[in-house]
Amino acid sequence: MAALLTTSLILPLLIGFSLSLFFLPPGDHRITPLLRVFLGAGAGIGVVSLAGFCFLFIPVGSSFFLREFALAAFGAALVWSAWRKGILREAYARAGGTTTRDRKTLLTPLALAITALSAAATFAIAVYREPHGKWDAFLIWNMHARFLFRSGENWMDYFRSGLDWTHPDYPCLLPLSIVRVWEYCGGETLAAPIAIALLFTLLVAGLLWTALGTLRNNEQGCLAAMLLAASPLFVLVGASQLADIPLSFFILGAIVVLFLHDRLEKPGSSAVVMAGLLAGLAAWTKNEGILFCSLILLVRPVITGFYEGPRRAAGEFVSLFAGAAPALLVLFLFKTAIAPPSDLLAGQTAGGFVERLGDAGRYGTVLMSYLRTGLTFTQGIPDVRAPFVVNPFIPGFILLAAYLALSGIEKDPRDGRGFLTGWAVVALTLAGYFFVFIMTPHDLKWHLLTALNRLFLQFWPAVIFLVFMAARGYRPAPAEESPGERQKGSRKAPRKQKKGRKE
Amino acid sequence: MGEIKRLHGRYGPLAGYALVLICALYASLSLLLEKARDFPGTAWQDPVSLHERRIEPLKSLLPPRGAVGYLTALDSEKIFARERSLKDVELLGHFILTQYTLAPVFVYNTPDRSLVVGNFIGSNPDPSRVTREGLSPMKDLGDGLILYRRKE
Repeated sequence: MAALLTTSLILPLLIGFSLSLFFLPPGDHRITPLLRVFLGAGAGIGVVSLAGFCFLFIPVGSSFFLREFALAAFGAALVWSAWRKGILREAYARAGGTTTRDRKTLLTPLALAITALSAAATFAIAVYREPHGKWDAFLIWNMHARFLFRSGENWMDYFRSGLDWTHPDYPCLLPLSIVRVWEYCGGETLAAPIAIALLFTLLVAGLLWTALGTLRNNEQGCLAAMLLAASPLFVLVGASQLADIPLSFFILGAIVVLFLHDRLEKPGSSAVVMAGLLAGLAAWTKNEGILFCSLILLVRPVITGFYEGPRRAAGEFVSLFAGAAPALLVLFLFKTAIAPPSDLLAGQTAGGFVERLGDAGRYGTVLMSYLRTGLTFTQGIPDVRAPFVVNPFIPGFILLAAYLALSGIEKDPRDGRGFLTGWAVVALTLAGYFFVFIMTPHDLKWHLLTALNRLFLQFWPAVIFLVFMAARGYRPAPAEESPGERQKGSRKAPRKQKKGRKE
Repeated sequence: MGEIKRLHGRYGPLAGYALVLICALYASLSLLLEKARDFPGTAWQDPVSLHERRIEPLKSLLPPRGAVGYLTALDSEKIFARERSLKDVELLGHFILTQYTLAPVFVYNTPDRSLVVGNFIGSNPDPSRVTREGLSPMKDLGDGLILYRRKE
């Protein structure tokens, strides 16, 4: 079982890693193989699920073998091409000096290890107690996977069944990923959704750690990953087999790749294509990802336009769109030809929307809920019967703000566009959700209570990343050169940076 | 003011580092302790696994595909309404888990199908309602689970 499960993950990893080599070529991007593994694994799972959807239309008897053969051929072609071009060797040869590991303290890695072990044990206990996951896992994601797996060639019947309360309009990245593992294992096993949930939880934390390790330093990376792994809601939702953690991976991934792109001395467009791919996969993960993807496609080119003019902005839009296109195409086909309308839109009238938009009381309710949830969402799965309690010592916005205030701000001048894009997309998406709540046909309090904390969680890793990218951070060992000083041409740069480090 | 700025510049990052380190360890370990209190419990005794085992025998009595109705102690709209008002998720949970177990057979939350799953945990079916819906018991699986057939 474990061997089959592991085998099922080889192709996504191979494809994702190879894509990261092509879109973030080692000649330009001096990033660690580990960052490529974390980034690539998630992207690979997403790309494979896109293929999985396309192959659903092939008669059921041959679709599995055809799909896997096609994916294996695609993966092999990517690896062969990477080998031929020497990218593979270059990736490892150039990776040596990418992170600043010249720290003299073991305290941070040790604390990270304790936090990671503690989070892993919590995850294991949560899974042991609820192996089917929480409400939305068996109501939506695992239920969809069962319908797709058990229906065989009649899989489309489910989407026409009228079982709207199971949300058949939700995108299929997660259910199709589960189905693929079941196909490898020769039948349904709870290990599949659990393994995918565990994998994405690890990937988000790993991506945060290695991305900050590359773009800032290993200390900041460790500290940020610790903060995330110590956020109770992150671990508990991860173990609950929901799609919010995979979505948070794609959101974080898209933002990280844009930062990597901006650090290049002569930026091409390939990294932007990769960011587009990750944004597209966010849209293919959850409906909320559609808003994120649309915003990043619009916001990033506008910001680039301010920095570098309209021609460059148009180029970035084309690159982003090209990357997102495969996922958006599949999503468009799914939404227009297969899925029923969203429960937020079905049966709604313009008059109803206008009436809710004009209801001042709803704004107050949503605003209050934003404030309360913003202060407490990381503390765990909310209990309606429990009183509202803020614990500032549990990682959340308060702790993050305190860290930034104490640490001070020290940004690399090359990161300006990345910060603007990241914060603008986070703010606009949350503003978009705000109006979704204002216009929701559901009971407002129920909708806020059951959804808002997870919506905030989707952006939590990206917010930690953005804050740690800006924070000065503590340097226990010989003082490292600051990005600002580096720009001024200080001669105190660590040896590894003198070797031509670009990030 | 200058002194405060100097002290902040010198010790602020260290204080921030220590704050994050301590809080992360505190939050992580206290969550683990909280969860560990319930451990080991009993494996596979979670509500979903229990309900699945209870519903599983129905599968052999149903066609491999198609649709069935559903009957429980409350009317269908009330089940969803109680959950929306955050009063009671039990009955909705039972309905969801019945669908979760019986997929790919569609379970509709109304008793107007030729086969109807009656799910009465902790309650008894109302005979007058069963008659009114035109249903007759086809198989009583015990523990409040009854498969009904619509009378011709």
